[in-house]
Amino acid sequence: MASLLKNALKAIREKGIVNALRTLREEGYTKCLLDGNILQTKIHNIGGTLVGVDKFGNKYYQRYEGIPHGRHRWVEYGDKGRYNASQIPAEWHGWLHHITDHTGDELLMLKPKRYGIDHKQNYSGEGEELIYHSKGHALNPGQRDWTRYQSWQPTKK
Amino acid sequence: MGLGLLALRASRSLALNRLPRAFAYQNPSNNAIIRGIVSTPELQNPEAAAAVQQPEPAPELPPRKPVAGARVHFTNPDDAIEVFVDGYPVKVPKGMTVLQACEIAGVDIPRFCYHSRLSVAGNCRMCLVEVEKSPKPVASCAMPALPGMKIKTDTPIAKKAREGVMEFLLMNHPLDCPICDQGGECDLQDQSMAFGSDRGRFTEMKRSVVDKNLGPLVKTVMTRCIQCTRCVRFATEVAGVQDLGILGRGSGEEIGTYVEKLMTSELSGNVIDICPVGALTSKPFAFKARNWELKGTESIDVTDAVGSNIRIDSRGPEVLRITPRLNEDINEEWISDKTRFFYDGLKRQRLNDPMIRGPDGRFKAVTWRDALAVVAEVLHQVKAEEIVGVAGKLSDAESMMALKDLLNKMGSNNIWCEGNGSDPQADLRSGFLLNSSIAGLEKADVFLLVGTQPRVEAAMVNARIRKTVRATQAKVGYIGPPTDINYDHQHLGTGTQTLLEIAEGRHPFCSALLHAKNPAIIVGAGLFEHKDKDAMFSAVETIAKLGKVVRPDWNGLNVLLLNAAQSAALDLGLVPESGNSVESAKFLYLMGADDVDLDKVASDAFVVYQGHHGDRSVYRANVILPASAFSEKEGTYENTEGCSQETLPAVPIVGDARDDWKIIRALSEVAGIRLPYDTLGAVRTRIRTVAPNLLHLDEREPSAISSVAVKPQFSQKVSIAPFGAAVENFYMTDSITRASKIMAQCTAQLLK
Amino acid sequence: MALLPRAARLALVSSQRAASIHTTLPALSSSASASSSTSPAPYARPSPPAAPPSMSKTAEFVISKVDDVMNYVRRGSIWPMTFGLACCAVEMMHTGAARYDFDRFGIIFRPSPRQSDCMIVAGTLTNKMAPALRKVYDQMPEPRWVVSMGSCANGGGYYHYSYSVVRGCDRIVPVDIYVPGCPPTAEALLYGMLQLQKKISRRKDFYHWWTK
Repeated sequence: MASLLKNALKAIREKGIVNALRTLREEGYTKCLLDGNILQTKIHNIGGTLVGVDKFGNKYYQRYEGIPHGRHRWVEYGDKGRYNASQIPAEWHGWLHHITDHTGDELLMLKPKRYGIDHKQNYSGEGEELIYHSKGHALNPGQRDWTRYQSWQPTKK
Repeated sequence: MGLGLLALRASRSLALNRLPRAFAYQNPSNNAIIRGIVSTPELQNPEAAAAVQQPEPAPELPPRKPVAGARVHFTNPDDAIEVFVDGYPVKVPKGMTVLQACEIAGVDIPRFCYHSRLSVAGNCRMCLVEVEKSPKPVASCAMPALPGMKIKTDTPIAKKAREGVMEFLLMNHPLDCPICDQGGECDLQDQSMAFGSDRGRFTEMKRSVVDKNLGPLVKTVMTRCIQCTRCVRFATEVAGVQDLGILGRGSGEEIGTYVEKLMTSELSGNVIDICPVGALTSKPFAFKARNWELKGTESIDVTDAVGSNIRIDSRGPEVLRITPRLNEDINEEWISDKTRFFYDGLKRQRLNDPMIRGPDGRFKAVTWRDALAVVAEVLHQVKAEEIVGVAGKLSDAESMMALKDLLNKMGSNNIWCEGNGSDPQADLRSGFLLNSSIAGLEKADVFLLVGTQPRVEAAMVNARIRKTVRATQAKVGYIGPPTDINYDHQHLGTGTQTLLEIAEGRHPFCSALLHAKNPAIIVGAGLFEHKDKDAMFSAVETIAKLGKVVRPDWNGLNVLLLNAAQSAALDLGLVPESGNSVESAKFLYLMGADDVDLDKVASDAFVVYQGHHGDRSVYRANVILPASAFSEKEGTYENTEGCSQETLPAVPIVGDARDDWKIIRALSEVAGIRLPYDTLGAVRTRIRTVAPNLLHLDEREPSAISSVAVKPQFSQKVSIAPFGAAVENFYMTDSITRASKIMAQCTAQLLK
Repeated sequence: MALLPRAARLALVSSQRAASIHTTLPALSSSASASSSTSPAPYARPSPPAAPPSMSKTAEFVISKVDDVMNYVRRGSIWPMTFGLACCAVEMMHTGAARYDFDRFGIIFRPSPRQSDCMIVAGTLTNKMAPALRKVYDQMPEPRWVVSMGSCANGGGYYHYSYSVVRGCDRIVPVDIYVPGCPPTAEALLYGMLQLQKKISRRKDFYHWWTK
């Protein structure tokens, strides 16, 4: 706790009070007060090592001491309002779920450049336009044409 | 080792004791061939196994059914000889091969090179059987059956011999079944299940052969070829083109076209069917589907007047290929390339919405209700005699009946079918049918082709004539423009001049005609459109009288029609009242008619086009009513010999289109002159009152009276003009084939 | 071309005219309602729901809060009817057990349809099982939800071409959440249940009842 305070004071000293407060909000400390999940994560973070940050701003921590095995890797979501398990990209998923010990940054190097597509989170229930629809789906605007014949186009002759 | 062998023999003799009863029990009536797929260790020692088998008596064996309905036809009862197949006594005529005798006895012999409609080659050796007192297994397809022969088809020796042959065949055969289009319907694949080994002993490199380019229809993967030479024999014997042959010897042997050229026969697609492996496959069908995914619908071909029996293979809403169906009376087991490959036209240029031409001259898609209301409105505004209906080449009998009824109710009788000319002779059926029937042409010994080129007009009839000419050296005389005929013939002349010479007995061909036993005259339907057609037909009838062509036992005076709809139209009496009905029409109802001369149509005429393809007439139409194609409806068609057959729906109708007769029925309702039928059955009941023969499906109805005896003589001045060709492009004759890309490729590459 | 303009005029007014013609088109009647476009009708998104009937801001706030409370209670005590049919059921058990612990979301397996809110169809639904599944679904009280777990329940999966398998349990019951996987991990099912909670929290039962 003392170190926390020390860190806070150090930040205020370096950035000034306004910037420090903004950083505090961006880091989700203000949300902590209302959202127990974030508060719990923040408390959990104390003593954890930051292993990596992905491009969505999710921070991945781990800590081996003093934590029951199986809970020693966790994530602090970058999106503090609408956080969701599907926001974790594939490369970090493996590390987070103990499928592999390689971190997401290491695995990202293996990602094929040519056809590897960007991670997309699950927007189910957030609106039809956000959801991924396969090319045969009725809601896909570029829906595949299932007509198996070509119709005559009326042209003037 | 010795002990094991002994035990095996003991168990085998036990198994053999049980075997006959098991056979009888399993299949008392049907008696399918049961061929055990076992690798028997006693094959290592066939003599011993035979010794065990020897005392086995076969007293009461149940009679077996012949394979695939094989029949024995004894022309001379004295020629019958008796052979024993697996102990069964079978009576067969002299001259039959061992393989045919086995088929009659109900044993299916595996074969690759043997084909019942081709000559015997005997080079695949798959049909080896054991014959008693013969030192070696004999190739049953090439061995004539001799009296008292004891044939054994299921002995270890025969099985071992076939296994050996199969091993040799597979030695150079690529194992690419997963990417082979023949997979699933491959003779080699099937038979290797019975006779193949699970491993090969051949460790050297397999040979590979360069693929040949046979044109846009037949795809070749020559490495798969097993040199059965079926395709070579088909090309020379049935198709009548010397394009294919065998080159090289030993392992360098390969099938090819001696020089780099395409296969230009109109029957070339059939080599796909007869090829027992995947060496010759369909190019348009390549990698489209597997045969077990396809739904087969037994239907009728409508691209010419022969009405070949076909099976439409479809998957979902798509027709994926067309294959022939066996019909000995019409197409045997072949079909022409047009029939086989025009199906992609069914997917292109389709009309799928009713359309009305707006004041700006552009078509606008509307609902059926609107389109029919407009047509009905106009129908009531014109005078009755100004209403004209034209049925197209592909119309079925039901829709023509409905159209005729509709127009008759409006007070008009100006309805005809294109191709029949403006003044067809419809009173006597013998005047427009192929009276001697397609199969009956095989009995003829002299042919006189008048203004017809059967090779392009009706390829299957041409194949029949060629078969006859090849078998009996029948004479063929041809009158018409120079053309490519693939059998021996005399080109007598080009037009009416020659016809009159023969009629007057001045021509040298007359003697052949007079001495013939069964002369056949085939008149092309292209002459229907000729303005001197009455004079020409009277000349033909004079020749018929002269040569005694029409007798009680033989009617050789034939007309070869061009289109699928023609004979049914004439049977239903689609004869226009006036000769120049199109010119005077104010309301023209075109039911799929795309070959009407639209320049003759008056500019203020209201044209309704009801059809399935945007081909030619749509551009003049005021209203377009989309209809279904032959693959999507149930319809009756009568072929040129007077045999009515039925198409069945294979795929769903496209878009908003409807069946032809239903559209006319709906139009009649909107116009306030309701036609009295609501179902296809009711339409057929109506047809029964007009032409009952159209309802006798799959049986040929010969004409009762021959025209020569009844018809009055015509004496008309004849112009000495040469006959024209009725079909300019074999591959593109109607709206579907003209829409087909494959047919366009054929036209570009094969008709050079 | 004398008739043409008339025909065109007819076409324009025909929608009213045609209705007045008394017809019973036997086979074409269905086509009358078809759209008049040349190509197959493109998919059109349903228009957003119309503005509700006039309601004061306060009333709307209160109503939405009542809804929130109802949804909070409902999503906090989802009692699933277990319908374990195949290997997916084992993963479902994992989700219910200590490590992933359904209990902490108020999700307690309830082996009786009469008292459950949700049905987790876990595994291959065969033709023989389908009537039983439907019967159990019918016995559940409203509001009820269905979670389809695994490829087989989603769409037949590995057994799609089998003669005896229903190609997706959505042919039998209306499915709210599809959980992909073969089988889905316990985490995936947990995520699916969280999605179901989100779905429940979007309900507006009281609002709809009020404005009905």
